[in-house]
Amino acid sequence: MSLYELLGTLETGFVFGLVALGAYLTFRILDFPDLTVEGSFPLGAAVCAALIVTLGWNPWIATGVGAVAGFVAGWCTAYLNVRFKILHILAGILIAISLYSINLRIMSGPNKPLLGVETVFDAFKGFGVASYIVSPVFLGLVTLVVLALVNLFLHTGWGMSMRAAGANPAMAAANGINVGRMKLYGVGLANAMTALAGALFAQIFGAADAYMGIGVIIVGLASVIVGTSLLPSRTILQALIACIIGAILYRLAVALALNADFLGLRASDVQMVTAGLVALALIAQHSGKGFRKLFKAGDRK
Amino acid sequence: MEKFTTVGLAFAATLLATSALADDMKKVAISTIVEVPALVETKDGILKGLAEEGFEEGKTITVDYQNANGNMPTQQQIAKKFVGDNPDVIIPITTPTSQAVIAATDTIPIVFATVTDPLKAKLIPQLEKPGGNVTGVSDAAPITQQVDLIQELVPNLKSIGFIYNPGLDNALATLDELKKVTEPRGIAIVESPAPTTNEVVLAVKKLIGKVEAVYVPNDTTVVAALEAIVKVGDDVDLPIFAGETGAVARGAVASVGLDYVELGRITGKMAARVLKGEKPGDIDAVIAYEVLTNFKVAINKKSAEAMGVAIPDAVLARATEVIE
Repeated sequence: MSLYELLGTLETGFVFGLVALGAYLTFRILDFPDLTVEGSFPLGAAVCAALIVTLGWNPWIATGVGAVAGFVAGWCTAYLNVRFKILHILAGILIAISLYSINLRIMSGPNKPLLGVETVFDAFKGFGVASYIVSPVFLGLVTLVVLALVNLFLHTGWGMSMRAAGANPAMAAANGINVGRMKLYGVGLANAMTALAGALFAQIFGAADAYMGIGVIIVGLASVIVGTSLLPSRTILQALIACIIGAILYRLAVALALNADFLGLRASDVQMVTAGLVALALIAQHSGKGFRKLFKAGDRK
Repeated sequence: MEKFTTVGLAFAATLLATSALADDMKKVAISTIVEVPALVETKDGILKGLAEEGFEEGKTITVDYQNANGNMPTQQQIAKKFVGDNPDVIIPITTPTSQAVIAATDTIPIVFATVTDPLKAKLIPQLEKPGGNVTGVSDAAPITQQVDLIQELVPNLKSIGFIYNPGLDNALATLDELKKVTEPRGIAIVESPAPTTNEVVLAVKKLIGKVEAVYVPNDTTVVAALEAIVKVGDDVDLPIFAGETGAVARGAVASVGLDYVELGRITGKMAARVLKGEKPGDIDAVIAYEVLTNFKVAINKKSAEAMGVAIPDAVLARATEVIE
């Protein structure tokens, strides 16, 4: 693997680290399986692209507005669940499906190119460092900042209430926490992070595309599971870091699959190889000894 | 801790794995966002075109073909992988693939294929001598040949109805192209906008009595309701033409489509020029239907009968697909 490809993998890894942080917040902390991300990832991209290309806005502001749009999408999902008692998975699916049409409207088409327009990465052109080094470093910094902010938030009074609401809603409600409101803000925040990831990804990809959301939830979940299984995640901070590393490991698995044609694998086998590598990681985590047991059948008791 | 060793080894393998590309042969990298028949045909055509110019896979060139399986982040990683491998030419198939590759490099030569509107997608600034490192072949719908076919099948043609979603840029672009072709021939276009799939049937009914034929472009909103449009056409003897040959199997009376293998061949030949030393910026980008001589013509005989269209033998003779 070339250095270029490795840095490219890191780039995508950091972007999906943000998605993984959002997935951790909804699936693990709030216990709210949230499928809105299939729609909010491209939403962030679409809003950002439309603002930069059609209205000529500053890319930093456009990216920010993209994140806010994601917050609104997440809020809507949680609202369907809290106010109308629609099952969380269904609420997420409904919003994700609607967002597909909404994104088409925002971009007036399935694709909005971001080639040759000003992006957030242009701010670093003056430093004389090659863009393929600047991108992963910048994205890494953004991800670390978001991680730090989320960690800080989850240790504030409000954040702790959110954690309580997710861990034991009945007990939390008995203690005066508005569980519904925690869900609204929590799911909103998670989707804001996903939409931010989408907006940033569109700027490195070169376009916002309506189909960008396909598979995002699976990647996010796989990142969380791989990360928290392999790395110590007793404290919130450790868990958040584990999510980001999980996202990077997942993208490395994809990169390995792309380079595996020496094994006789074809381009379309990428999905299978990636799944295989993720499964390997999960089997290995049960215990190192467990992994060896797999190959030494005679030793089983 | 053992679990780290096992997994650590697995991921160390990632860093060491490289695809087998020999150093003395020229390297060609091809990528597609997804594998559907039209795109696989394009790839096959590209390899044929390269072989015809002396660049055969395994003998004078190595080919690295990757498929992103509809996944944009994977497409991004593929683009970065290609740039890191430093091939002699990259051939991205479809618009999002091309955008990712162009965003990743401005030095490696790129020849795109099967991109509907390369100017709108901001791949190149203009078709003639685009400059830069990008050129390629567009698969824009063959409007001229479509209108030719409509005139052949509907001899008393004076106006064509056009149903479309006014919110889609592609549909608006097709409308402009259509007007450019029909105005010099004295044919009028009657627009019937349908912002959602539910309004499509109303849009068709508004055209009854005002036009001699209806054209349904490659507009996802409208194509979704194609069967309903066909039913109206059958009931009132109004011929329904479509922009894609697939719609003919669903009931449209006829359509002219591109032969994607041929399109791929043109792309392959363009890539061969780049491999022989020409700069992509000096090679004019091409719209396939302007240079192709063979087109796919699909006819639906059952629909023709139901819509009151008589198909001349000359058309049947050159039809590549006839549905009874």
